[in-house]
Amino acid sequence: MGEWTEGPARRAALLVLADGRFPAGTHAHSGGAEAAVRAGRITGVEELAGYCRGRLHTAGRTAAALAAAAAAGVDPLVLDEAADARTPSPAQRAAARRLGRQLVRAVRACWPSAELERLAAARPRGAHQPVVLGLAARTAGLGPADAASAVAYETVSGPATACVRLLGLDPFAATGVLARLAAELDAVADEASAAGLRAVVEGPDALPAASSPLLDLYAERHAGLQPRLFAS
Amino acid sequence: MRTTAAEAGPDAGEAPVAAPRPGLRAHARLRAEAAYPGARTVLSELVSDGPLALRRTRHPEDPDAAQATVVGAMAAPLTGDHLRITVRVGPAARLRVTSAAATVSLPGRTGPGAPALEPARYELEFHIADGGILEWLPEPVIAAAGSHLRQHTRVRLAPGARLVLREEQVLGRATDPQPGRLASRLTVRRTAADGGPGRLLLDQETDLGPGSPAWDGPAVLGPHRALGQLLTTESPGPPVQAAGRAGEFAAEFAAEATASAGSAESADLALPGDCGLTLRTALAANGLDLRRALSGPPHMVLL
Repeated sequence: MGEWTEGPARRAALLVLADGRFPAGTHAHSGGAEAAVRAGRITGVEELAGYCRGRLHTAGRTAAALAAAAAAGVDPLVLDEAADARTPSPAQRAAARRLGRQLVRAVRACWPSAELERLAAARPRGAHQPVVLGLAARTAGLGPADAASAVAYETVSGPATACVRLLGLDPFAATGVLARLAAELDAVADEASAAGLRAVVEGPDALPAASSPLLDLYAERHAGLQPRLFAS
Repeated sequence: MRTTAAEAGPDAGEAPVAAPRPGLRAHARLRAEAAYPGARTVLSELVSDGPLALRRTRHPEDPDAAQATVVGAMAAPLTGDHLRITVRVGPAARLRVTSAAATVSLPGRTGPGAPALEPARYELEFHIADGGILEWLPEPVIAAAGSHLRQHTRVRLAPGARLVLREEQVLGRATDPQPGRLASRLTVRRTAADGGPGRLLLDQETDLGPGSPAWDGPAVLGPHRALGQLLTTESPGPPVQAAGRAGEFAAEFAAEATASAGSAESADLALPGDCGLTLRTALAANGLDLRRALSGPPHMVLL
């Protein structure tokens, strides 16, 4: 386990990593929103806002903390096991690993590192995506708070973008949902970052394990859904 | 005159006329042992404490297995209380634990002059040795309006240990205008053969009820008010294979989302690393539907 020390500000690196057009495959995933739409639980902007907020404070909180811990230098293989234990749904584990593998390919082209190659070799079918993202942030000179922010934002931007396509929602209204969540996104990222730093000393049990029962059920249901627009 | 805190004791200097009950501490303990595989299981330790009264009862199916029932001896947990039960199941021992009634989480004394209390804590620790089996089958925990409870269940399974663990949470009694707050964490470890910390198999935390962000939104509970889990090393029963097309599926779940009766939905989740544990997660409008979903085959519709 290494230590993270404050480096020079690398804002542009964070923009590259968190860009929706970064070729990490996230555009093919809806974060459970497709199953929620099919179940009739998201029909408009108001439910989308509730969905994003609920996902941020449950799965998002946990994923952001895992990314922060990886960025802070906690052993990524230890974190990958912690992520597994925090993901009881096999469909969600499979999606997280698929996204992790795709992210490795993108990061390799941007910020190649021996740490990343070691993780890729130890988990050939992919490590959990937030762990890979945290490691990428570390390599790019970013800190735990940056990694947590990128992951927290992704947990809500995915469903919002997906609902524009699934429900034909007004894209301005969907983006408004994200903008109104900004303060909560920052709060979750700050908390996740603190947990990630604690994990350097206390180990992965210091990380939150927040989860949501409906997200687990959506993920399992979605895996059996045909035809579907999104992979998860 | 000067006295140290230790000399004075916890109650020194306090003599209010109607003192609110401070949070109580109780730790009940249970140990089941068998002399050899196939031997009758005995309860070598059965320690009740405060509101947690333990009674020896008869296992309905296996005369050689032990059974204990938790009887609530007084209203608890109230906000500020800290309850704990430790269960140890020895090698080859067979133990079932039930409860006589639902556990109702209640608010502590509130209003002017009432002390600010921490949420109630309810901690369960289960240690199961090789060849031992624990069936933890209590009645639900019900979060009454105004209550705040944090539960943490920690399970340590030796290699070869077996488990059937049911947890049911119901948000609000039928007459409550709104539910209480109920946070719950379930942590399961498979210990190494040498007794080391071993591998973490499950760490799952929920935080439900007023004050938790978007807990009743479409990503967390939706319209449901009862959440349950059946965690087991055994087979939880075959899932129902229902035929259907995607269109019917969508219509069915859309109807279910708005109807409240019989709306249980569940899935059987195989935990990671080929550990042999299955977690059935179920949601329902009420405790009755929830029990059906946890006992019977899953309601998940496979396409």
